[in-house]
Amino acid sequence: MAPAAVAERRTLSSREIWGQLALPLVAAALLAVPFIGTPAFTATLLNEALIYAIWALSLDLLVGFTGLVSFGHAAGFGLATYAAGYFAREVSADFLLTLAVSEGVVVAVALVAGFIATRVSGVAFAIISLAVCQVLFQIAVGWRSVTQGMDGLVGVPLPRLFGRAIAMGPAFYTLSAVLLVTSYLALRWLVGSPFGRTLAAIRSSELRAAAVGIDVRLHKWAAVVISWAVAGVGGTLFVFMKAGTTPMVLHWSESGNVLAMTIFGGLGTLLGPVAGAVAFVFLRDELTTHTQAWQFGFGLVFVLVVILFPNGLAGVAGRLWSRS
Amino acid sequence: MDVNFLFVSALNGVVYGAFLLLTSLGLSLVFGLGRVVNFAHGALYALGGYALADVMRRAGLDYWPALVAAPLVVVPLAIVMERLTIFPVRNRPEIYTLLVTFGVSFMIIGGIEYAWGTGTVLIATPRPFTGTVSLAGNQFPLYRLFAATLSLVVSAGVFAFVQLTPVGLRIRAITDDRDMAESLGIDTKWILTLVFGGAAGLAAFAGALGAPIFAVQPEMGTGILLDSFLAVILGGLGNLPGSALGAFIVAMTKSIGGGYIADWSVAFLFLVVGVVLVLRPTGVLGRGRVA
Amino acid sequence: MRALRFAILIMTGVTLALAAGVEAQESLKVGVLTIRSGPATPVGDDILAGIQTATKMYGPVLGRSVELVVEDSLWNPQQAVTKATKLVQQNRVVAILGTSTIESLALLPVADRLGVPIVTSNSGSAAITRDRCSKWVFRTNPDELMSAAALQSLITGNPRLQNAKWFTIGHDYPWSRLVAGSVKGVKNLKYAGETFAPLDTSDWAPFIAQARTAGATAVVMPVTLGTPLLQFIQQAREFGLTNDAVLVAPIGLPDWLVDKLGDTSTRVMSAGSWAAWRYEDQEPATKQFNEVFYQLNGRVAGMQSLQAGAAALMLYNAITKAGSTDPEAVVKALEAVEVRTPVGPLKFQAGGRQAEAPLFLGPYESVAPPRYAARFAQRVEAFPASKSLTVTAKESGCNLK
Repeated sequence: MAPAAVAERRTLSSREIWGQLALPLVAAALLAVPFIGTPAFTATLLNEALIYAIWALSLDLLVGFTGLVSFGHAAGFGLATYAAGYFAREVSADFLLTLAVSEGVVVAVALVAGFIATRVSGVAFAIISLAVCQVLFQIAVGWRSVTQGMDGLVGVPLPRLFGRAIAMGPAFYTLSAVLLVTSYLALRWLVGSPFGRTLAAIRSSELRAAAVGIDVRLHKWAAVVISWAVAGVGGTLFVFMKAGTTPMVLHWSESGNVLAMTIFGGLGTLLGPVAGAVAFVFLRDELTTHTQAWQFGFGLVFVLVVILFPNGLAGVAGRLWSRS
Repeated sequence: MDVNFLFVSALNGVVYGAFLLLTSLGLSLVFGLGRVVNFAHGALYALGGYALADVMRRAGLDYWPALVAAPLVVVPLAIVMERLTIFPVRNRPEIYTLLVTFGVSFMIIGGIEYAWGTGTVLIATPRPFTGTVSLAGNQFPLYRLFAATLSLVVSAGVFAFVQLTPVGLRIRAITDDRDMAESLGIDTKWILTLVFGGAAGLAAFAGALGAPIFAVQPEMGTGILLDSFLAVILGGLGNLPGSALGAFIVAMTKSIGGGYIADWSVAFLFLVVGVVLVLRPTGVLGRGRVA
Repeated sequence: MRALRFAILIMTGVTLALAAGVEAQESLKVGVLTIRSGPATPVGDDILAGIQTATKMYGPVLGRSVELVVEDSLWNPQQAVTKATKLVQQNRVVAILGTSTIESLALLPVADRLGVPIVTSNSGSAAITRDRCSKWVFRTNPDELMSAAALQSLITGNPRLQNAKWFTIGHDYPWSRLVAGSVKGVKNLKYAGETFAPLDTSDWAPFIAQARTAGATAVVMPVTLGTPLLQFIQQAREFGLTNDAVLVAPIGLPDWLVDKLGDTSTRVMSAGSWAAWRYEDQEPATKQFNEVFYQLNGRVAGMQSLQAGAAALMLYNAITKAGSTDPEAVVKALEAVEVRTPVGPLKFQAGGRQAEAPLFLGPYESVAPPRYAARFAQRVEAFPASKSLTVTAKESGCNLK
């Protein structure tokens, strides 16, 4: 036995134990929320935050891990609300079936939109992604026979899982939390995989990545499609929670909201966007109830975070953690 | 096919195009020069309209002096904004200025709503341009023709400035190759501030000039911002003649399309931009940056 | 820099920690979900002012003072659902007032989950109390189909309009096409054409040109109420359209808009306002409301305020009649009450959720001397619900269990 192998077998420090346990603990805490006497509205708001968290995670894959800033990320989310809502109302409210259908629609459109958008990068990509979302918005407003225009798609029933209806409240909350944890784990695996590392290379320098023989365009295209698909999971949950959808879900201000959540939480981390989504939802609820300055406040926080805290909440947390 | 409808729509498109030109030129110059994409450009346009309304009401000025005063009020504000928000992120990747100005635009619009409320302010058509003129059997407001002409003149002035003056030469040098320009001793910082202020002034001027036509309300800059972005992308980022062409393509598509296919015209416009980008990522004239 | 960053973080944390949770006292809480920010804020202002006036007029309900809990819908349907949930779950309101079409449509599918009466006074979409009706959602303003009937009656009752050459200019909404359809449906009417503009149009030049070329002498304008309508009328005058044609506003003009238009408003006729302050010449409840409103706000009560006030009065009367705030009891009471409101005596249609509300037709004219600081206002001719609401609830598509 070599001395090195013996040296490996040391006890884990408490920091390391906490570090490993943190994630499962957070997940468990989140799942427990509706069952420990949390006030009803707090749980409702948190439920909404969990759905937004899935959405923010998907944007982080694009912005934080691939370096493509999108100003139109309401597209995948909003499109899913329509696809899922329409299917659930007209055909079947079975959750898994609805999810499959809405994912199919979202991926199909993402393939086309991604193809166009990845022709450019940087600022032009941001503007084109905005334009794509605007087109979807216009279609939602104009295609009245299917979407019912500005009045919106209403009458979406409760989702059903294995034959049982999932009511709003603890049941739906649990469904949302499980999907969030699943999305998180899936993205964590993806980011650590060779594909994920290629994306990181592209983010750091497209030129160098290309020089090493990476098909940059293909990878960017794939990143767009995957991020739309994950956003679509959030959208499917959302339409059930609101029992319907309207074109406003595709409005560019919504794209701004998810961008704010993701940046606020911390790009390039995975817990960051989750924290950002929670913070955003609660902050917005508080501010809009007590002031009429939401727009100004939103802008101010956005600017401050971009200038002073570019790594968002996760960055601050990370720094506090490493200092302790 | 109502010929009169088409004619007035087209004329309207030219008028809107002239305004779009003012804002697109500013946007393009600032980008070409400092690689800054100013999402708050629309908010500056709105601020121009409000400055006009405020100066008219508070200082009791007539429209014409207020038209001159409005950009003069907005430019210093814009420079302060640039120093406080864009300057700190100048060394970070370009996308940061887009994000920061995105946030600033919300602040400006929120500030406008706080200061002036959310209602609309109507500005009366100024003398001596009240009334209509008959063009090919259609009545068309004189003021719109005047405003379009003035916008075109000012835009031509901007072009001339960039092409013919020594300062303009420096601007073109920096746009071409910034490091080289700096090593030649050109004071890039000063010129950046000048151009940013100038672009803001152009936007504010456009907002004030358009106020009697389009009315003043907090969201007035949103539409023209998006259209300006599309115009600049169509023309190729940083390419001035391209932006001019882009502005008119956007304006005409919206105006004529808007008359015939209503809301679908916007989708159509984006489709056009998308197609152009797929085929020629450097813009219609093929001389812009891909960014 | 570090201290600054920490300070900002702490402030953010503190803000988050300051969760609302104001505990319920003896007051009776009524939720007001309306527009409090963005371009449509003036509408929300009017609605809130109307509810406040009615609350002051009515006084305590069941011996308790009424506390209005106001939430901003941000004119966004998803937000409306969240805020309505907050009103019910956190503030425990007994009912929700103040919604417009967007919020009402958003709340309909979750009305059962919310479980409180929702009384809207500003929603035009007919479906809300017809095919999409819910036992919880009541409406005091006339719906768009009732307005269509009023428009037709205005035309047939007025030779100048009956013989005019009609043109429609509006935004591209289903509602606009409904309005155009009702004009076209009048027998022996000369219809010269119609044109619909994108939803964000603020520049009506080409559309007005079309109307003029067609030689229109009457133009009906289903344009979004608010700034767009204001701009349209201004531009119509600029282009000389108002010299040749009378403008017809399908649901009238809000009084703040009339004030801004000034003399130009006399070129406009209302084909069915949802309320009109000059009804006070016939209805004492309107006069009382106008006076209290003017006292509180220093301006005349507009259409949205009067209607919102009516909705609030219906609610308070119903709660008093029910003797409790139990939602089911209040709903039952709402079905049965008959109240004198600022739009006249009001009750909900049997078996339905639509109030049998009148529509107010008439031209805009100057008011001399000014009353309640208004110099121009609509002359009032009431078109009763018996003429505009000619179907039963069931026939209209509403089947309440």
